[in-house]
Amino acid sequence: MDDLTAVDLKTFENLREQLGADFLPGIVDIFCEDVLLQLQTAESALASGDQSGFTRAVHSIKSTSLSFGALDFGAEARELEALGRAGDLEQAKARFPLMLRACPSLRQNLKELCRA
Amino acid sequence: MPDAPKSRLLVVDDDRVNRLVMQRYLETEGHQVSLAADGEEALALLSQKSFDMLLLDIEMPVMNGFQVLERMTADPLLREVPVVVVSGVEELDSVVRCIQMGAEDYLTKPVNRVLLKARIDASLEKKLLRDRQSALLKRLQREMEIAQHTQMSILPERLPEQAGYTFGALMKPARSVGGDFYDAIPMGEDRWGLVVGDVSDKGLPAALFMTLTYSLIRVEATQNKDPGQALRDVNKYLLEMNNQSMFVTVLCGLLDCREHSFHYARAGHPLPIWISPEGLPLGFEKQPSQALGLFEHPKIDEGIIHLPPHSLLVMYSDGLSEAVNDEGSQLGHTGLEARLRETYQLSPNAVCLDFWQFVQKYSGGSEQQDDFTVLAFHREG
Repeated sequence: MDDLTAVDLKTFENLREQLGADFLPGIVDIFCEDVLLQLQTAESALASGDQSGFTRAVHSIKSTSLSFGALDFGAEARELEALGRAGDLEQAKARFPLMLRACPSLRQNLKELCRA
Repeated sequence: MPDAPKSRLLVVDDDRVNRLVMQRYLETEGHQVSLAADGEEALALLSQKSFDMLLLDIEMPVMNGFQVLERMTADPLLREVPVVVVSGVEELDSVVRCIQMGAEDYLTKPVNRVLLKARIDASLEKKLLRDRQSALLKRLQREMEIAQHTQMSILPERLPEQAGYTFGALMKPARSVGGDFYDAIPMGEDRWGLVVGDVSDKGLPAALFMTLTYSLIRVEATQNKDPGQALRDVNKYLLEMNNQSMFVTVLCGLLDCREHSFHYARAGHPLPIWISPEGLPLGFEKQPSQALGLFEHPKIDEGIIHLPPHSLLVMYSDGLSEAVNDEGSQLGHTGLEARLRETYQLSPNAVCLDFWQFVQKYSGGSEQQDDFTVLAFHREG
Protein backbone atom coordinates (compact mmCIF):
# COMPACT_ATOMS: atom_id res chain seq x y z
CA MET A 1 0.00 0.00 0.00
CA ASP A 2 1.84 3.06 -1.21
CA ASP A 3 -0.66 5.84 -0.68
CA LEU A 4 -1.74 6.19 2.89
CA THR A 5 -3.26 9.64 2.59
CA ALA A 6 -6.85 8.74 1.66
CA VAL A 7 -9.70 9.56 4.03
CA ASP A 8 -12.85 7.45 3.99
CA LEU A 9 -15.60 10.01 3.50
CA LYS A 10 -18.33 7.89 5.04
CA THR A 11 -16.37 7.48 8.26
CA PHE A 12 -15.41 11.13 8.33
CA GLU A 13 -18.97 12.38 7.77
CA ASN A 14 -20.25 9.96 10.35
CA LEU A 15 -17.75 11.41 12.79
CA ARG A 16 -18.82 14.94 11.93
CA GLU A 17 -22.40 13.99 12.65
CA GLN A 18 -21.58 12.28 15.92
CA LEU A 19 -19.21 14.93 17.26
CA GLY A 20 -20.94 17.97 15.80
CA ALA A 21 -19.65 20.23 13.05
CA ASP A 22 -18.56 22.84 15.60
CA PHE A 23 -16.38 20.38 17.51
CA LEU A 24 -14.77 18.62 14.55
CA PRO A 25 -12.17 21.21 13.37
CA GLY A 26 -10.67 21.53 16.86
CA ILE A 27 -10.30 17.82 17.36
CA VAL A 28 -8.85 17.35 13.85
CA ASP A 29 -6.23 19.99 14.68
CA ILE A 30 -5.35 18.14 17.84
CA PHE A 31 -5.14 14.87 15.95
CA CYS A 32 -2.84 16.45 13.38
CA GLU A 33 -0.55 17.76 16.13
CA ASP A 34 -0.55 14.50 18.04
CA VAL A 35 -0.02 12.19 15.07
CA LEU A 36 3.07 14.18 14.19
CA LEU A 37 4.37 13.87 17.74
CA GLN A 38 3.60 10.16 17.82
CA LEU A 39 5.43 9.63 14.53
CA GLN A 40 8.45 11.46 15.94
CA THR A 41 8.27 9.31 19.08
CA ALA A 42 8.01 6.15 16.97
CA GLU A 43 10.95 7.24 14.81
CA SER A 44 13.15 7.92 17.82
CA ALA A 45 12.13 4.61 19.38
CA LEU A 46 13.01 2.77 16.19
CA ALA A 47 16.37 4.48 16.06
CA SER A 48 17.19 3.52 19.62
CA GLY A 49 15.76 -0.01 19.37
CA ASP A 50 13.05 0.78 21.92
CA GLN A 51 10.55 -1.92 21.00
CA SER A 52 7.83 -1.06 23.52
CA GLY A 53 8.11 2.69 22.87
CA PHE A 54 7.71 2.11 19.14
CA THR A 55 4.80 -0.30 19.58
CA ARG A 56 2.94 2.05 21.91
CA ALA A 57 3.36 5.02 19.56
CA VAL A 58 2.05 3.22 16.46
CA HIS A 59 -0.72 1.65 18.55
CA SER A 60 -1.92 5.13 19.43
CA ILE A 61 -1.67 6.33 15.81
CA LYS A 62 -3.70 3.32 14.71
CA SER A 63 -6.74 3.86 16.87
CA THR A 64 -7.10 7.59 16.28
CA SER A 65 -6.41 7.37 12.54
CA LEU A 66 -9.19 4.85 12.11
CA SER A 67 -11.58 7.15 14.01
CA PHE A 68 -10.99 9.96 11.48
CA GLY A 69 -11.40 7.74 8.43
CA ALA A 70 -7.65 7.49 7.68
CA LEU A 71 -8.19 3.78 7.14
CA ASP A 72 -5.07 3.01 5.12
CA PHE A 73 -2.87 5.06 7.43
CA GLY A 74 -4.43 3.28 10.40
CA ALA A 75 -4.06 -0.13 8.75
CA GLU A 76 -0.36 0.51 8.15
CA ALA A 77 0.01 1.56 11.79
CA ARG A 78 -1.68 -1.69 12.81
CA GLU A 79 0.82 -3.71 10.79
CA LEU A 80 3.71 -1.78 12.25
CA GLU A 81 2.30 -2.37 15.71
CA ALA A 82 2.22 -6.12 14.97
CA LEU A 83 5.83 -5.96 13.81
CA GLY A 84 6.71 -4.05 16.95
CA ARG A 85 5.04 -6.62 19.18
CA ALA A 86 6.86 -9.40 17.28
CA GLY A 87 10.15 -7.56 17.83
CA ASP A 88 10.77 -7.24 14.10
CA LEU A 89 12.09 -3.70 14.21
CA GLU A 90 14.14 -4.17 11.06
CA GLN A 91 11.06 -4.66 8.91
CA ALA A 92 9.33 -1.88 10.80
CA LYS A 93 12.23 0.42 9.97
CA ALA A 94 11.87 -0.44 6.30
CA ARG A 95 8.16 0.36 6.23
CA PHE A 96 8.00 3.30 8.61
CA PRO A 97 9.17 6.04 6.16
CA LEU A 98 6.00 5.49 4.15
CA MET A 99 3.96 6.75 7.10
CA LEU A 100 6.28 9.69 7.63
CA ARG A 101 5.89 10.69 4.00
CA ALA A 102 2.11 10.31 4.04
CA CYS A 103 1.52 12.34 7.18
CA PRO A 104 1.63 15.89 5.74
CA SER A 105 -0.81 15.07 2.96
CA LEU A 106 -3.11 13.21 5.31
CA ARG A 107 -3.22 16.18 7.66
CA GLN A 108 -3.93 18.46 4.71
CA ASN A 109 -6.74 16.24 3.51
CA LEU A 110 -8.37 16.11 6.93
CA LYS A 111 -8.23 19.88 7.37
CA GLU A 112 -9.73 20.43 3.95
CA LEU A 113 -12.54 18.01 4.71
CA CYS A 114 -13.24 19.93 7.91
CA ARG A 115 -13.73 23.09 5.95
CA ALA A 116 -15.90 21.40 3.35
CA MET B 1 -31.00 23.14 27.42
CA PRO B 2 -29.02 19.98 28.21
CA ASP B 3 -30.42 17.50 30.73
CA ALA B 4 -29.01 17.46 34.26
CA PRO B 5 -25.81 15.36 34.57
CA LYS B 6 -26.71 11.70 34.70
CA SER B 7 -23.62 10.05 36.02
CA ARG B 8 -19.99 10.68 36.89
CA LEU B 9 -17.75 8.90 34.41
CA LEU B 10 -13.98 8.62 34.29
CA VAL B 11 -12.32 8.16 30.90
CA VAL B 12 -8.84 6.67 31.13
CA ASP B 13 -6.86 6.73 27.89
CA ASP B 14 -3.30 7.78 27.12
CA ASP B 15 -4.35 9.23 23.78
CA ARG B 16 -5.56 12.82 23.98
CA VAL B 17 -7.76 12.57 20.89
CA ASN B 18 -9.51 9.45 22.21
CA ARG B 19 -10.10 11.12 25.56
CA LEU B 20 -11.55 14.26 24.00
CA VAL B 21 -13.77 12.35 21.56
CA MET B 22 -15.14 10.20 24.38
CA GLN B 23 -15.64 13.26 26.54
CA ARG B 24 -17.61 14.92 23.76
CA TYR B 25 -19.84 11.88 23.28
CA LEU B 26 -20.49 11.42 26.96
CA GLU B 27 -21.08 15.05 27.83
CA THR B 28 -23.54 15.30 24.97
CA GLU B 29 -25.45 12.49 26.71
CA GLY B 30 -25.50 14.57 29.89
CA HIS B 31 -22.83 12.76 31.89
CA GLN B 32 -20.18 14.44 34.01
CA VAL B 33 -16.82 13.40 32.62
CA SER B 34 -13.34 13.40 34.14
CA LEU B 35 -10.21 12.45 32.21
CA ALA B 36 -7.06 10.56 33.12
CA ALA B 37 -4.09 9.90 30.83
CA ASP B 38 -2.89 6.73 32.56
CA GLY B 39 -3.69 4.30 35.33
CA GLU B 40 -1.90 6.24 38.04
CA GLU B 41 -3.86 9.40 37.27
CA ALA B 42 -7.05 7.34 37.26
CA LEU B 43 -6.38 5.83 40.68
CA ALA B 44 -5.51 9.27 42.05
CA LEU B 45 -8.85 10.62 40.82
CA LEU B 46 -10.68 7.57 42.15
CA SER B 47 -9.22 8.23 45.58
CA GLN B 48 -10.46 11.82 45.51
CA LYS B 49 -14.03 11.44 44.36
CA SER B 50 -16.56 8.80 43.51
CA PHE B 51 -17.42 7.70 39.99
CA ASP B 52 -20.29 5.70 38.61
CA MET B 53 -18.19 4.08 35.90
CA LEU B 54 -14.74 3.84 34.33
CA LEU B 55 -14.03 3.65 30.62
CA LEU B 56 -10.61 2.10 30.60
CA ASP B 57 -8.01 1.76 27.87
CA ILE B 58 -5.71 -1.24 28.19
CA GLU B 59 -2.45 -0.14 26.54
CA MET B 60 -1.14 2.80 28.50
CA PRO B 61 2.24 3.97 29.78
CA VAL B 62 3.03 4.29 33.51
CA MET B 63 0.20 1.97 34.58
CA ASN B 64 -1.85 -0.10 32.15
CA GLY B 65 -5.48 -1.19 32.27
CA PHE B 66 -4.73 -4.59 33.82
CA GLN B 67 -2.90 -2.97 36.70
CA VAL B 68 -5.77 -0.54 37.26
CA LEU B 69 -8.26 -3.43 37.35
CA GLU B 70 -6.05 -5.35 39.74
CA ARG B 71 -5.85 -2.41 42.13
CA MET B 72 -9.57 -1.73 41.90
CA THR B 73 -10.49 -5.36 42.59
CA ALA B 74 -8.29 -5.35 45.68
CA ASP B 75 -9.93 -2.20 47.02
CA PRO B 76 -13.34 -2.75 48.68
CA LEU B 77 -14.35 0.83 47.91
CA LEU B 78 -13.49 0.60 44.21
CA ARG B 79 -14.51 -3.01 43.59
CA GLU B 80 -18.11 -2.05 42.91
CA VAL B 81 -17.36 0.65 40.31
CA PRO B 82 -18.18 -0.85 36.90
CA VAL B 83 -15.41 -0.80 34.32
CA VAL B 84 -15.96 -0.85 30.57
CA VAL B 85 -12.77 -1.70 28.72
CA VAL B 86 -12.13 0.22 25.51
CA SER B 87 -9.64 -1.49 23.24
CA GLY B 88 -8.61 -2.30 19.69
CA VAL B 89 -10.23 -5.26 17.92
CA GLU B 90 -6.94 -7.13 17.84
CA GLU B 91 -6.73 -7.02 21.61
CA LEU B 92 -9.54 -9.49 22.26
CA ASP B 93 -7.30 -11.73 24.37
CA SER B 94 -6.63 -8.75 26.57
CA VAL B 95 -10.35 -8.00 26.75
CA VAL B 96 -11.06 -11.55 27.92
CA ARG B 97 -8.41 -11.15 30.59
CA CYS B 98 -9.99 -7.86 31.68
CA ILE B 99 -13.45 -9.45 31.93
CA GLN B 100 -11.92 -12.25 34.02
CA MET B 101 -10.39 -9.59 36.23
CA GLY B 102 -13.77 -7.99 36.86
CA ALA B 103 -14.45 -5.64 33.94
CA GLU B 104 -18.16 -5.43 33.19
CA ASP B 105 -18.13 -4.94 29.42
CA TYR B 106 -15.94 -3.86 26.53
CA LEU B 107 -16.00 -1.63 23.47
CA THR B 108 -13.70 -1.64 20.48
CA LYS B 109 -11.93 1.37 19.02
CA PRO B 110 -12.85 3.42 17.09
CA VAL B 111 -15.76 3.80 19.45
CA ASN B 112 -19.21 3.87 17.92
CA ARG B 113 -21.29 6.48 19.69
CA VAL B 114 -24.57 4.52 19.57
CA LEU B 115 -22.91 1.40 20.93
CA LEU B 116 -21.13 3.45 23.57
CA LYS B 117 -24.42 4.89 24.78
CA ALA B 118 -26.10 1.47 24.86
CA ARG B 119 -23.26 -0.16 26.80
CA ILE B 120 -22.99 2.69 29.28
CA ASP B 121 -26.73 2.83 29.88
CA ALA B 122 -26.84 -0.94 30.45
CA SER B 123 -23.89 -0.87 32.84
CA LEU B 124 -25.24 2.11 34.75
CA GLU B 125 -28.62 0.42 35.05
CA LYS B 126 -26.95 -2.66 36.52
CA LYS B 127 -24.95 -0.48 38.89
CA LEU B 128 -28.10 1.33 39.97
CA LEU B 129 -29.74 -2.00 40.79
CA ARG B 130 -26.65 -3.15 42.66
CA ASP B 131 -26.51 0.13 44.60
CA ARG B 132 -30.17 -0.19 45.55
CA GLN B 133 -29.65 -3.79 46.58
CA SER B 134 -26.64 -2.83 48.64
CA ALA B 135 -28.54 0.06 50.30
CA LEU B 136 -31.44 -2.26 51.06
CA LEU B 137 -29.08 -4.85 52.53
CA LYS B 138 -27.42 -2.23 54.71
CA ARG B 139 -30.82 -1.01 55.90
CA LEU B 140 -31.88 -4.57 56.70
CA GLN B 141 -28.63 -5.21 58.55
CA ARG B 142 -29.15 -2.04 60.55
CA GLU B 143 -32.72 -3.01 61.36
CA MET B 144 -31.59 -6.48 62.40
CA GLU B 145 -28.99 -4.89 64.69
CA ILE B 146 -31.72 -2.77 66.27
CA ALA B 147 -33.98 -5.83 66.57
CA GLN B 148 -31.15 -7.77 68.20
CA HIS B 149 -30.48 -4.94 70.61
CA THR B 150 -34.19 -4.64 71.42
CA GLN B 151 -34.52 -8.38 71.96
CA MET B 152 -31.49 -8.57 74.22
CA SER B 153 -32.65 -5.51 76.14
CA ILE B 154 -35.94 -7.15 77.16
CA LEU B 155 -34.08 -10.01 78.80
CA PRO B 156 -33.41 -9.49 82.51
CA GLU B 157 -30.72 -6.90 82.97
CA ARG B 158 -29.65 -8.51 86.21
CA LEU B 159 -30.22 -11.94 87.66
CA PRO B 160 -31.88 -12.28 91.07
CA GLU B 161 -29.81 -11.30 94.08
CA GLN B 162 -31.21 -13.65 96.64
CA ALA B 163 -29.68 -14.68 99.92
CA GLY B 164 -28.84 -18.38 99.87
CA TYR B 165 -29.02 -18.70 96.10
CA THR B 166 -26.80 -17.82 93.16
CA PHE B 167 -27.97 -17.55 89.56
CA GLY B 168 -26.41 -17.66 86.12
CA ALA B 169 -27.72 -17.33 82.57
CA LEU B 170 -26.44 -17.22 79.01
CA MET B 171 -28.21 -16.79 75.68
CA LYS B 172 -26.57 -17.01 72.22
CA PRO B 173 -28.93 -16.62 69.26
CA ALA B 174 -28.01 -18.62 66.16
CA ARG B 175 -28.85 -15.61 63.98
CA SER B 176 -28.92 -11.88 64.68
CA VAL B 177 -32.18 -12.39 66.49
CA GLY B 178 -33.55 -15.62 67.88
CA GLY B 179 -36.57 -17.39 69.24
CA ASP B 180 -35.18 -18.37 72.64
CA PHE B 181 -35.71 -16.38 75.79
CA TYR B 182 -35.33 -16.57 79.51
CA ASP B 183 -36.66 -14.50 82.34
CA ALA B 184 -36.40 -14.08 86.10
CA ILE B 185 -39.52 -12.38 87.41
CA PRO B 186 -39.75 -11.09 90.98
CA MET B 187 -42.87 -12.66 92.54
CA GLY B 188 -42.81 -11.14 95.98
CA GLU B 189 -40.45 -11.65 98.85
CA ASP B 190 -38.01 -14.54 98.26
CA ARG B 191 -40.00 -15.84 95.31
CA TRP B 192 -38.93 -15.80 91.69
CA GLY B 193 -40.57 -16.85 88.47
CA LEU B 194 -37.93 -18.48 86.28
CA VAL B 195 -38.63 -19.06 82.59
CA VAL B 196 -36.86 -20.55 79.58
CA GLY B 197 -38.69 -20.63 76.24
CA ASP B 198 -37.97 -21.66 72.69
CA VAL B 199 -40.04 -20.59 69.66
CA SER B 200 -40.42 -23.13 66.85
CA ASP B 201 -38.42 -21.14 64.28
CA LYS B 202 -35.39 -18.86 64.17
CA GLY B 203 -34.74 -15.37 62.84
CA LEU B 204 -37.08 -12.39 62.78
CA PRO B 205 -40.48 -14.18 62.79
CA ALA B 206 -39.38 -16.27 65.75
CA ALA B 207 -38.06 -13.18 67.52
CA LEU B 208 -41.42 -11.42 67.15
CA PHE B 209 -43.29 -14.48 68.46
CA MET B 210 -40.79 -14.78 71.27
CA THR B 211 -41.42 -11.16 72.28
CA LEU B 212 -45.17 -11.80 72.33
CA THR B 213 -44.79 -14.95 74.44
CA TYR B 214 -42.31 -13.29 76.76
CA SER B 215 -44.72 -10.39 77.41
CA LEU B 216 -47.71 -12.69 77.96
CA ILE B 217 -45.80 -14.83 80.46
CA ARG B 218 -44.70 -11.70 82.32
CA VAL B 219 -48.31 -10.50 82.56
CA GLU B 220 -49.71 -13.89 83.62
CA ALA B 221 -46.91 -14.61 86.09
CA THR B 222 -47.42 -11.37 87.97
CA GLN B 223 -51.06 -12.30 88.65
CA ASN B 224 -49.88 -14.86 91.19
CA LYS B 225 -51.22 -17.82 89.24
CA ASP B 226 -49.53 -21.14 89.65
CA PRO B 227 -47.08 -21.87 86.78
CA GLY B 228 -49.36 -24.40 85.06
CA GLN B 229 -52.33 -22.05 85.01
CA ALA B 230 -50.13 -19.20 83.79
CA LEU B 231 -49.00 -21.31 80.82
CA ARG B 232 -52.57 -22.39 80.00
CA ASP B 233 -53.68 -18.75 79.97
CA VAL B 234 -50.70 -17.75 77.82
CA ASN B 235 -51.69 -20.53 75.43
CA LYS B 236 -55.20 -19.06 75.03
CA TYR B 237 -53.79 -15.69 73.99
CA LEU B 238 -51.25 -17.27 71.67
CA LEU B 239 -54.00 -19.22 69.89
CA GLU B 240 -55.95 -15.99 69.38
CA MET B 241 -52.97 -14.01 68.12
CA ASN B 242 -51.09 -16.63 66.16
CA ASN B 243 -52.09 -17.18 62.54
CA GLN B 244 -48.66 -18.37 61.40
CA SER B 245 -48.84 -21.78 63.11
CA MET B 246 -45.87 -20.91 65.25
CA PHE B 247 -45.48 -22.55 68.62
CA VAL B 248 -43.31 -22.22 71.64
CA THR B 249 -41.99 -24.62 74.23
CA VAL B 250 -41.69 -23.25 77.74
CA LEU B 251 -40.36 -24.37 81.06
CA CYS B 252 -41.30 -22.05 83.87
CA GLY B 253 -41.16 -22.44 87.58
CA LEU B 254 -41.78 -20.66 90.81
CA LEU B 255 -38.71 -20.74 93.03
CA ASP B 256 -39.59 -20.25 96.68
CA CYS B 257 -36.37 -19.46 98.45
CA ARG B 258 -37.92 -19.78 101.94
CA GLU B 259 -39.48 -23.19 101.33
CA HIS B 260 -36.61 -24.15 99.01
CA SER B 261 -39.11 -25.52 96.55
CA PHE B 262 -39.41 -25.24 92.82
CA HIS B 263 -42.91 -25.58 91.37
CA TYR B 264 -42.41 -26.08 87.67
CA ALA B 265 -44.68 -26.30 84.63
CA ARG B 266 -43.42 -27.65 81.33
CA ALA B 267 -45.01 -27.15 77.91
CA GLY B 268 -43.16 -29.29 75.37
CA HIS B 269 -39.81 -28.12 76.72
CA PRO B 270 -36.89 -30.27 77.91
CA LEU B 271 -36.92 -31.07 81.62
CA PRO B 272 -34.35 -29.21 83.68
CA ILE B 273 -31.27 -30.96 84.99
CA TRP B 274 -31.17 -31.26 88.71
CA ILE B 275 -27.87 -32.14 90.32
CA SER B 276 -27.56 -33.32 93.90
CA PRO B 277 -24.93 -31.94 96.32
CA GLU B 278 -22.85 -35.02 95.47
CA GLY B 279 -22.95 -34.24 91.77
CA LEU B 280 -25.50 -36.90 90.82
CA PRO B 281 -28.45 -36.22 88.53
CA LEU B 282 -31.78 -36.34 90.34
CA GLY B 283 -34.72 -37.64 88.37
CA PHE B 284 -38.02 -36.00 87.57
CA GLU B 285 -41.30 -37.75 87.18
CA LYS B 286 -41.77 -37.00 83.54
CA GLN B 287 -45.32 -36.51 82.25
CA PRO B 288 -46.37 -35.80 78.69
CA SER B 289 -46.49 -32.14 77.70
CA GLN B 290 -47.20 -30.11 74.60
CA ALA B 291 -45.97 -26.81 73.19
CA LEU B 292 -48.06 -23.64 73.47
CA GLY B 293 -49.79 -22.10 70.46
CA LEU B 294 -51.05 -25.33 68.88
CA PHE B 295 -53.80 -26.90 70.99
CA GLU B 296 -56.75 -25.50 72.87
CA HIS B 297 -55.96 -27.63 75.92
CA PRO B 298 -52.28 -28.51 75.80
CA LYS B 299 -50.87 -31.06 78.19
CA ILE B 300 -48.75 -29.33 80.81
CA ASP B 301 -46.31 -31.33 82.90
CA GLU B 302 -46.26 -29.94 86.44
CA GLY B 303 -44.44 -30.86 89.59
CA ILE B 304 -42.84 -29.59 92.75
CA ILE B 305 -39.35 -30.46 93.85
CA HIS B 306 -37.61 -29.65 97.12
CA LEU B 307 -34.10 -28.41 96.76
CA PRO B 308 -31.54 -29.76 99.21
CA PRO B 309 -28.64 -27.49 100.16
CA HIS B 310 -25.83 -27.36 97.57
CA SER B 311 -28.06 -28.62 94.77
CA LEU B 312 -28.01 -27.18 91.30
CA LEU B 313 -30.84 -26.80 88.78
CA VAL B 314 -30.23 -26.02 85.14
CA MET B 315 -32.97 -25.00 82.68
CA TYR B 316 -31.96 -25.06 79.02
CA SER B 317 -33.25 -24.89 75.45
CA ASP B 318 -32.87 -27.68 72.90
CA GLY B 319 -30.04 -25.75 71.23
CA LEU B 320 -27.89 -27.52 73.83
CA SER B 321 -29.33 -31.04 73.87
CA GLU B 322 -29.78 -31.20 70.08
CA ALA B 323 -26.22 -30.13 69.27
CA VAL B 324 -24.85 -32.65 66.78
CA ASN B 325 -21.29 -33.92 66.51
CA ASP B 326 -19.34 -34.96 63.38
CA GLU B 327 -20.84 -38.44 63.56
CA GLY B 328 -24.40 -37.10 63.61
CA SER B 329 -25.05 -37.95 67.27
CA GLN B 330 -26.99 -35.53 69.44
CA LEU B 331 -25.52 -34.45 72.74
CA GLY B 332 -28.84 -35.11 74.46
CA HIS B 333 -30.06 -34.59 78.01
CA THR B 334 -27.77 -37.34 79.28
CA GLY B 335 -24.75 -35.73 77.62
CA LEU B 336 -25.51 -32.51 79.44
CA GLU B 337 -26.03 -34.37 82.70
CA ALA B 338 -22.68 -36.09 82.27
CA ARG B 339 -20.99 -32.75 81.71
CA LEU B 340 -22.60 -31.28 84.81
CA ARG B 341 -21.25 -34.12 86.91
CA GLU B 342 -17.83 -32.64 86.16
CA THR B 343 -18.74 -28.99 86.58
CA TYR B 344 -21.48 -28.89 89.23
CA GLN B 345 -19.22 -27.23 91.77
CA LEU B 346 -18.65 -24.20 89.57
CA SER B 347 -20.77 -21.08 89.99
CA PRO B 348 -24.02 -21.06 87.94
CA ASN B 349 -22.56 -18.43 85.59
CA ALA B 350 -19.46 -20.56 85.08
CA VAL B 351 -21.66 -23.63 84.46
CA CYS B 352 -23.55 -21.69 81.74
CA LEU B 353 -20.34 -20.54 80.08
CA ASP B 354 -18.87 -24.04 80.29
CA PHE B 355 -21.99 -25.43 78.58
CA TRP B 356 -21.57 -22.93 75.73
CA GLN B 357 -17.93 -23.93 75.20
CA PHE B 358 -18.78 -27.60 75.60
CA VAL B 359 -21.57 -27.46 73.01
CA GLN B 360 -19.36 -25.58 70.54
CA LYS B 361 -16.60 -28.15 70.99
CA TYR B 362 -19.08 -31.02 70.66
CA SER B 363 -20.35 -29.52 67.37
CA GLY B 364 -16.77 -29.46 66.05
CA GLY B 365 -16.77 -25.68 65.67
CA SER B 366 -19.40 -25.84 62.93
CA GLU B 367 -21.84 -22.99 62.47
CA GLN B 368 -24.35 -22.69 65.31
CA GLN B 369 -27.63 -24.23 64.12
CA ASP B 370 -29.98 -23.32 66.96
CA ASP B 371 -30.36 -20.72 69.65
CA PHE B 372 -28.57 -21.51 72.88
CA THR B 373 -30.15 -20.57 76.21
CA VAL B 374 -29.36 -21.74 79.69
CA LEU B 375 -30.53 -20.52 83.10
CA ALA B 376 -29.10 -22.08 86.24
CA PHE B 377 -29.34 -21.59 89.97
CA HIS B 378 -27.59 -23.08 92.94
CA ARG B 379 -28.87 -23.38 96.46
CA GLU B 380 -26.10 -22.62 98.88
CA GLY B 381 -25.60 -24.43 102.15
